[in-house]
Amino acid sequence: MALALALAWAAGPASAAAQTTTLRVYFNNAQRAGSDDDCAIVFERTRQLPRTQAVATAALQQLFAGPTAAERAAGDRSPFSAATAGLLKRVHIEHGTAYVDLHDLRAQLPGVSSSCGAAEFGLQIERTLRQFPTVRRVILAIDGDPRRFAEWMGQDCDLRNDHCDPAPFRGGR
Amino acid sequence: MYKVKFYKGDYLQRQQAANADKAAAYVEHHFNSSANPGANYAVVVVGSNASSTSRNWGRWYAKAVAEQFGTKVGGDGGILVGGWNGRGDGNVKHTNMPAVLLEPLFASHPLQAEAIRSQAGQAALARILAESIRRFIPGGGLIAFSVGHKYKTSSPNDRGAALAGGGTEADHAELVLQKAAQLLVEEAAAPAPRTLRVMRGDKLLFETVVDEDAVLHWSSDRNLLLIPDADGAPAPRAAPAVKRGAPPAPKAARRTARK
Repeated sequence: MALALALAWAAGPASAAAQTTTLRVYFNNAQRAGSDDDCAIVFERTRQLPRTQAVATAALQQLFAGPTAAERAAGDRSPFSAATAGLLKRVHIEHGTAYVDLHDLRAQLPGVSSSCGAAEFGLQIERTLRQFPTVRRVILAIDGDPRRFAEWMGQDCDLRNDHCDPAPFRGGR
Repeated sequence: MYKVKFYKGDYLQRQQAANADKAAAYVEHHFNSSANPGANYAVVVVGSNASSTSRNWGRWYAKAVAEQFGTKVGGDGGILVGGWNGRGDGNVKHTNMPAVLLEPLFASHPLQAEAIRSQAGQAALARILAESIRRFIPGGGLIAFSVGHKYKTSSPNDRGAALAGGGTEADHAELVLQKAAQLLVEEAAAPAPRTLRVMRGDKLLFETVVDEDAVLHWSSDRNLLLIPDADGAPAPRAAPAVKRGAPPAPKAARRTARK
C-alpha cells in the first residue's frame, strides 16, 4: 500500500507534465528593448496549456488574446487583446508555409497597417509560428482571401505571398 | 504652376489614374501607429523601386517634420524603402513619378495626436509638405494627393488608426492634404523668392528675402546668422557656410536658415 502511494506520488508531476503543452508567444516591450521606436523587436512569453496536437492553432489563439494583465504591467505591448481573441479562423502548415486565415476584425485592429503597426502585428505572428521548426514563412488571409489581407496592408501580390493564391486557404491546392 | 487633384479608389487604381493624368508627383498621407504609446518618430515609406528624387524628398520631409515637432527621424535616415516587409510598398510603387507615403507623426502618441488634431499642427504639416514639393518638384505640374485608408472601394469604412484622445488617422490626413493643396495652388501664381525665416514653433518671428546665390554663415559662438552685403562682402572665414544645396549645416543653422 505504502509502495503504491509512493509510486502514485512520484508519477503525479510527470503525468501533469505529459498532460500539458508549453508554447511561446511574442510581444513588443519597449522597456526590454531599451527603445520606444523599434517596432520590430519582440520578446517571448510562455503559455502552459492542456496537451494538444494543434500547437500552431493553440499558439495563435494565445497570441491573439494579447498579453495578460501582469505582462502588460511589465511593459508588454501588442495590437492583440481580448477584443481580438477570436481572430483566428484556421491555420494549416504545408511545405514550410503556415497559411493563417483570419476573421475580418479589421475594425478592431485599426493601426496595424501603418509601418510600425505592421511590423508589430507581422512580427508577433511570425515569431510565434516560427517557434515550430516546420514553419519557415507565413501567409495571411482574411476570410480565405489573401488579396484582401494584402490590400489592407498595402502589400503587392507577389512571390512573398504566392501571388495571393487562395487555394491553400480552401484546404488544398 | 501647381495643380492638385485628390485620387480615390483602391490604392492601385489611384496610382494608375495618376499615371494616366501624367502627374508630376504622388503623395499619400497617413499617420503612424503603435501598440506602444511612446513610439515617436517621423518616417516616409518610398517604393522598393523608388527614384533618388523620391528617396531624397522623403528624407528631407521626415527631417523637416522631426525638427518642427521635436521628434526623431525613423527608418534609414527618414525613409523605409519598400515599407516593412513589403507592407506599404504597393501604395506607391506603381507610380511613374516621384512618390512618397508620409507618416509624419504617431496617431497613438497622446501629444502627437493632439498636434494632429490642432489647426496649428495641421498647418505646420501642410507647410512642410508644400515646401518639400516646391523643393523636389520645382517644375510644377499636377500633384496627386491620396488620403490613406479613406475612399477605398474595397474597404469603404476604413479610416486607419484611431487618434489617442479621439478622431481618426484618415480624416486628419485629409485635412492636412487640403491645407497643403491650398498652399500650393495659392502660392503658385508667382515664383517665391528665396526667403529667410525665423520661427518659434508655428509662429513667424522674422522674414526677409535674400539673394538666390547668397552664402549665409552661422556663428554658433555668437548665435548669429550673417547675410552677406549686397556687394557680396564676405562673412568671417571661420564660420560654417549655409548655402543652398550645400551639405547639412549645424542643427541650429538649419533651423534658422532653411525653414
